[in-house]
Amino acid sequence: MNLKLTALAVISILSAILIAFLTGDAILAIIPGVFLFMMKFRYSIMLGFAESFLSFMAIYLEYPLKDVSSLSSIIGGIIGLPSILIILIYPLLAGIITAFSALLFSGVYELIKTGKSSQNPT
Amino acid sequence: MKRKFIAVLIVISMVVISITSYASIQLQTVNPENGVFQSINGANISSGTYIIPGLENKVTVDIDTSGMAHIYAGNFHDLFYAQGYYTASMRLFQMELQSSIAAGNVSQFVGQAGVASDLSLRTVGLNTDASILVAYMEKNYPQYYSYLQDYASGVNAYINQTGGNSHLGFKLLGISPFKWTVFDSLVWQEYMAWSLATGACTVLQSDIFYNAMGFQNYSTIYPYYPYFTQNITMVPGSGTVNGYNLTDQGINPSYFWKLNFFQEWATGISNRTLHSLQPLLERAYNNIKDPFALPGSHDFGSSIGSNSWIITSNYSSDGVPMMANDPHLPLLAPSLWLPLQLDAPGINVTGWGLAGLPGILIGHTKTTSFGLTTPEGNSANEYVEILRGNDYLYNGKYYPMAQQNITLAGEHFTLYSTNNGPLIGRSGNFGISLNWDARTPSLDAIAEIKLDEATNYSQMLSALKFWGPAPPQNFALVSLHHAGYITAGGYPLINETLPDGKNVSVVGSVSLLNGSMSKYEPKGFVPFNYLPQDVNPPRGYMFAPNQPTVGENYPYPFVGSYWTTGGRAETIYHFLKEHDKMTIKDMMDLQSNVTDYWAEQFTPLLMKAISGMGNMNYSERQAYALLSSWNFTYWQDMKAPVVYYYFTAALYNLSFYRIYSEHDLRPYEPNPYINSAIYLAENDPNSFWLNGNFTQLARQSFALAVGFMDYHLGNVSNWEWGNIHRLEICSLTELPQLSIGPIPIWGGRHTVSVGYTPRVLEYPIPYVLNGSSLRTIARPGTGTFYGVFPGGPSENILSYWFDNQLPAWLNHEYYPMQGLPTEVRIVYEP
Repeated sequence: MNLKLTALAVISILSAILIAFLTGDAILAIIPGVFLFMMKFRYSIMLGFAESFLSFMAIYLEYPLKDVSSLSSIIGGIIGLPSILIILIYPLLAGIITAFSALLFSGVYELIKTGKSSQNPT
Repeated sequence: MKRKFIAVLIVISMVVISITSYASIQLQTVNPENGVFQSINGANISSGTYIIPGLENKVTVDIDTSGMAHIYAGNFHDLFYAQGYYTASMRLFQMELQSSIAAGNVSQFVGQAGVASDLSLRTVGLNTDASILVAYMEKNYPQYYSYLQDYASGVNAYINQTGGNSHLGFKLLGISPFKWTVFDSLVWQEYMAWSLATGACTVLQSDIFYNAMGFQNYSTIYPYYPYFTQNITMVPGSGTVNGYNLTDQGINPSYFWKLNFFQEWATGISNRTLHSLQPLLERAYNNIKDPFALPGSHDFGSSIGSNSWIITSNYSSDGVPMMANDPHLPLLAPSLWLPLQLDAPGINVTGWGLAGLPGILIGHTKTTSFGLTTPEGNSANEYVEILRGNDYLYNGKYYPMAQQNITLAGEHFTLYSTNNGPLIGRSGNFGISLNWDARTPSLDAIAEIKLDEATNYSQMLSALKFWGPAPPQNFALVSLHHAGYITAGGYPLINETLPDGKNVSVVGSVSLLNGSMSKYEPKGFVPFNYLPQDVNPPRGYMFAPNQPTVGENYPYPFVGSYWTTGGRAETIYHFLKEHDKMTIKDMMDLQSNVTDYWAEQFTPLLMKAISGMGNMNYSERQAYALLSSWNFTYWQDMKAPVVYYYFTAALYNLSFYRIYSEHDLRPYEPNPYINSAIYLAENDPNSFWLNGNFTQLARQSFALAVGFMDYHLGNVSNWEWGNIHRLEICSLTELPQLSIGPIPIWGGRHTVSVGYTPRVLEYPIPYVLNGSSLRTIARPGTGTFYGVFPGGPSENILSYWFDNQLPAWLNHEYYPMQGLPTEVRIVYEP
């Protein structure tokens, strides 16, 4: 069982990384959450959030950090938000999407599981 | 119970996922993979080889340590193709935004906020004129059209390869670049011409003033030739050009220049009718003022100017001619200019091109150099139209107006035009149409490339036969042995019958003309041979910083004109007069001169007026002492310029501006000529314009100014010019975050090294937005070429190349324009 969970977690992490670097699309961060359906709610949320948040944060490593900092200050000034939020906001969204995706699919899995057990009293 | 809890969690999850997914779509701008951060990739320019389909042979682009790109190609096709590709790689967003503004399509970028600008420029007709020009060039000049097409193909090759992904502007707006066409280049050419057109608004301003205050007051404040400028014209002498003048036509200049050209005999419009048109004049003025104009551009208060001068071989220390040029334009980030060398068999030219147009506009070859400034004679005039419904009256018959339906951001508009041009305002049965010389296809792009190909003086002159009609420009031309000027372009001529019965063709009008009769229509342009021009003048120098180009005896009098005050011309004139063996260093010293000639004339009069003031307080005594010891220069750490600035601003406030306001003129009129204030103070100190007593006015102004400085700036130690006089190099987007500055800056409104600011009793004063958009000094005879501009080749704000030349520009330093080491080598291969 642990092996299965671990394998799914690894697949989830890898998919989060691939989505971040290949598409950069936060909506697709739903996908890594799917693989966390067997985990307990609390762990699926934590892992889901962490893997997408960190994957999307890691994109910044493609750029010189000095330029990331300068550009976030400029964009923050234009939009009217703190520069740190400019850097964090998209990875945060991706993290939240994966976290709640994991929660959603864990919930569905749990419902199916409890449904089956209530049909079979033995 | 547990199942219910899980169901609730599922619902919550779905809601949160939906909201965050929506938010992620809205926040694509800050997506680290696809959003603005991608533009970081465009910050560095590195050596490498790129495959570019469409090239015939290999092209090499060497970017030197100053940021100038030297493009070496095997033929013209590859040269302009590579120029397009390279320019797009550096400035694609700028090019597309500029073209969209010019074409009246900026609302496609910014929505409703751009409609007023689009409507203004569509009304003027840039879009239509450019479309006509494209077709005209394609049909009549296929070779030069093909160069424009090559340039466009180069731009599109870049777009096809990269999608423009590394350009911040596109990412910020969430849009993709459109495909570049010849139209986009030429509509930008039209915009530049429009921004340099004189007469479009000044005629309206003149009439608004005349209606309110009459001819006596008009000619006192805005005389045909600003006071004291008769002897500093671009063409030395009284106005004779190639042996022809006004006197030859039996007309006495002193008679001619006393005439009132607002009268019915000159315009075909009675003064009563003109007066009744005041609301229409104001409406038309507002209709063609583009609210989205480039910062500082289209300010009809003459804030755009330029400097240039030439030195003949007998006046030069090395016995060969020299030239200096610094065109004053909106200082933008990125700059309007891109430094380039274009080298292919048949062409080898170095200098600055406009981003969006092929070729070099200001620059040099091994044997020539050329620069330009703006002359101020009318290239546009306005006509009163008599309307009936959608018909206009012409020579006794009504004709239907041409109509054009346009849609901007979902709103529908209909534009009208008569035989005189687009209708820019209408009230009841009267309309005002704009007759701008750009209605005739302007072949500037051809002239520019021919100029780039020219290798001697006569070839440069021949090239300039293609220039214009719009916009007329003073071309400074220098070859190995010759130096001179010509004001090339098309000045529309109006046939006037003077009150004494004599007929004369004049340039433009100072007032609206009657559009319902053919008599006042433009009848051709000033013949090329009689355009203001001279070569190798015996005195050894000529200069053209926007002062009157020719004297009062010029055969085609500039009735419609709005010259600058001539302050820079006076400084240049006196400097050149005193340096009879000019060196390159002298040229640089003059280009960095920050002496205000008018301050030098005005300050003694002001000091004399306030010298008898009793009971000066401490601050007033300090201000007085500062002015007493001032050398009339404007450096950032000096205090006297602040005193002079606020002193004269207060004086304007208490006199000219007060009178303007009382006559509802304030929104429409620029600063009065400083010459006029000086002239009146000297010759008519009891003038109505000086509140009847110059001495009293000066004392009140001085007290007001010092009190103002005390209040806003505090202690005298804070009265430094750099504290109030600051430069902002604006982004095209007008976002301060993408702009450079504010930077404390030298210079004043009338100094050669200029720092334009309006004269207003305000704190803080408006930023300097216009100035020397580039500086160049050339001596082809010795192969000596220097240049600098306030920016860099790249539009990427994160790039070193965004503003790499700015520090040198701020310090009045130069880069040699040849022989610098190569920093980056890019090879384009087919």
